[in-house]
Amino acid sequence: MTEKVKFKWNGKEIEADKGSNLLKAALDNGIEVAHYCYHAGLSVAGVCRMCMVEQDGVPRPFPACNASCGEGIVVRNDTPKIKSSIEATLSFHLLNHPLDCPVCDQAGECGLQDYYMKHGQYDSQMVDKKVHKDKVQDIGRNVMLDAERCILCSRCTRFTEEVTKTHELGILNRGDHAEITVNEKLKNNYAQNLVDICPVGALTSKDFRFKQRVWFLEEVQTTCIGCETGCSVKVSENKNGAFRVKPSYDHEVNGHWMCDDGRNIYKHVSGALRLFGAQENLNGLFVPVDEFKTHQLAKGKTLKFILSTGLTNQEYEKFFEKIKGKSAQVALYVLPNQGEDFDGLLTRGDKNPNLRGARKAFEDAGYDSSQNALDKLLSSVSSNDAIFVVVPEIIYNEDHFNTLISKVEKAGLKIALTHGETLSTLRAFDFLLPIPTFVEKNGDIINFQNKKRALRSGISYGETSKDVSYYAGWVNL
Amino acid sequence: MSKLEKIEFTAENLARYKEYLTRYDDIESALLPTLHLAQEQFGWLPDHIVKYLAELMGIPEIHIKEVISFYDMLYDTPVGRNIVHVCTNITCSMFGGREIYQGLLKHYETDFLTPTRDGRISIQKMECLGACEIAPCMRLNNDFLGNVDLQTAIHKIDELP
Repeated sequence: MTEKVKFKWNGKEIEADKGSNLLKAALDNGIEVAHYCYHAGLSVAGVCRMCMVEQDGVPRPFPACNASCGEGIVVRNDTPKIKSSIEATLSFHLLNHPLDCPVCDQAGECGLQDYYMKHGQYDSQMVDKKVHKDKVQDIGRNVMLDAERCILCSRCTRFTEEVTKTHELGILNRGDHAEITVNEKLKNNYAQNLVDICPVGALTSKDFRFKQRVWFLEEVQTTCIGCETGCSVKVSENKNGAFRVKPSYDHEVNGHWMCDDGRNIYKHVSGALRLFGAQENLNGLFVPVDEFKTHQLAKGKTLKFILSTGLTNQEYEKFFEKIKGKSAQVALYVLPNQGEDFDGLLTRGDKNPNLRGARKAFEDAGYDSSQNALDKLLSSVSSNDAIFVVVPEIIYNEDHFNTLISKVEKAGLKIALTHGETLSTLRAFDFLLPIPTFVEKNGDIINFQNKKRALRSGISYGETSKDVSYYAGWVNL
Repeated sequence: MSKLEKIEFTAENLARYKEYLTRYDDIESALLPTLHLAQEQFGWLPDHIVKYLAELMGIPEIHIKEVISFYDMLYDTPVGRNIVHVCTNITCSMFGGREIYQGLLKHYETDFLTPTRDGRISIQKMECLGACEIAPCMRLNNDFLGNVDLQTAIHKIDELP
C-alpha cells in the first residue's frame, strides 16, 4: 500500500499516491489542465509547456507533468501569471499551424481547438509567413501524416520508442523546420494508436479520414471481439453506420492501447451485406423469404447446432435453456489459431473472443465442446437433419471455415445464422437467418484472463431481435 | 558508391571508433564523433551508411537521422570533396560575408551545398564560425581564412585539390 498524500490544487483538496505524477493526480480528480505532450501511457517529455503551475514557496512556474505529489503542497494554475504563460505558449504552438480545421478530421476532438477557445489570443500577432510542410504523407499502416498541423509534442515518437519499441518515428531538422519523419514506413501492428494519441490533426487514420464528423458520432463502450484478449474499446457510430473503433482505458487488460487488427472489427456491422430478415438461396442468389418457410421445413427434422465462440455468456445460457431436455445435437466451432500465440503486447493468436465462456456453458449444460464432438456431429450428418451453423463474426482463416461448410453439405436443410452474407461460400446454405452483431447485444464475454468483459448494444443496423436462442426454440416442434 | 558494395569502416577508423567508445559512459555520446569519422571516410551520410552505423552501434536508425538532420556539418545529401563554409552571421555580414557567399555561388555556378560539376567543392553558408576578429571569415575544410574578399576567396578555393 503506497503512502497517500493530500495537497491543494486551485484550493481543492486532492488525495494521491506520494510521489505520483502531479498532472495525472489533477486529471484523475476531474480538474481540467491544458496539456499536449503528457500521456499517462508514455514517459514524461515536458515539451509542450501547457500544464504550467505555480506552487507556494517555489519562485517560478513549472510544468505539472514533471512534478510529483507531495504532502501539503499548494498548487495553482488559475493565477494571472499562469494564464498569460499558457496564452503565450499556445500562440507559439499555433505559429505555423495551418488552421485548416474545416477540412481536418481531428476537428471536434482537437487539443488545439479546445485550448484555443479557452486560452487563445484570437488576434494574430504574426507578421512572417507560416512555414509550410508536406500535408499528405502516407507513413504506412493506414496512418496519414500532415506535418504542418504537428505541434511536435513527441507523443508519437515516444510511442514507437517505448510501447512498440520499433523506432520508426523521429523528429528531423531543427527549429521551425523540425518535423515528424518516418524511417521507411511504420511496420508495427499498433500504429493506429498514434492517431489516437496525436492531440492535433497531424496523424489521421486513412480508414476514418473524411468519412464522418466526430460530433455526429456516438460512442458505444464495448469489448473487442478480434481475439481472446478482449480489449475495452469504444465503437463510434451513428445512424449511417459504424465508423471506427478506439481503445478505452482498461487497467487490467489493454491499458491505453489496442492493435490494428482490432480496428477493423466494426466493418461488418453496418453495410450492404447485413441481413434484414431471413433469406433463401435460389440457385446461388439469396432472396428475402418469410422465416416461417424455414420454420416449416425444419419441422420433423433432427436439429443440429454448431455454435461459434463469439456469443455472449447470456446467449449460451438462454440457448441451452431452450433446448434443455430436447433432442438436439450441439457442437462448438473453434476458430483456428492465427499467427504467433502472443505478440508481447496485446494481440493473441487465439482468435476466439469467448471460448472460455462457451466451454463453461457447454459443460454446465452437459454438452461436449471438444473438437471430437464437432467431428462426431459432422460425420453423422444425414438428409434427415436440419443443421444450424452460427457463422463467426470475424473470420481470419476462411479456408478453415469453408472445410466446415463442405462437411455439412449432406444435411437436408442447411441454415446459416449470420449477421450478413459475409462469405461467398455461404451459398452452400439453403437459408440465412439473421443474428445480432457484437455492438447490437448486451452481455458478457470471458477474456484470456478469465475476466468478464461486457458487450454493450448501440444502434441496430439489421434484424437484431432474434438471437441464437430464438432459433433454438424450433427444436422438437 | 553502389549500395551493393559492402560499407564498413577501414581498420584504422574502426580502431578510432573503438577509442571513442572508451571516452564516454554511454554509446549515444560516441555518436557525434563517430558520425564525423564516417563522414571523413565516406564523404556524406546516405541511408545505407546510417544503417551500417545503426547496426554497429546498436542505435535506432531514426535516432542517427535525427542527429544528422540537426547538425549543419553532417550531410545527408552528397557534397563535394572540399567544403567551403562562408560565415554570414552579423559581424561577417557587416564586413560583406553575404556578398562573398553570393559571389562564390555565382562564380562556381552552384547552389547551397550543391557540389560543383567536377565534384570538387560545396559551398555552405554558416552561422557564426567563432572568428569575428578576422571578419569576414571562411573555412576551407578545416582551415580558417580571415579578412577575405571575393577575389582572394576564389583564388584560395582554386588551390584546393
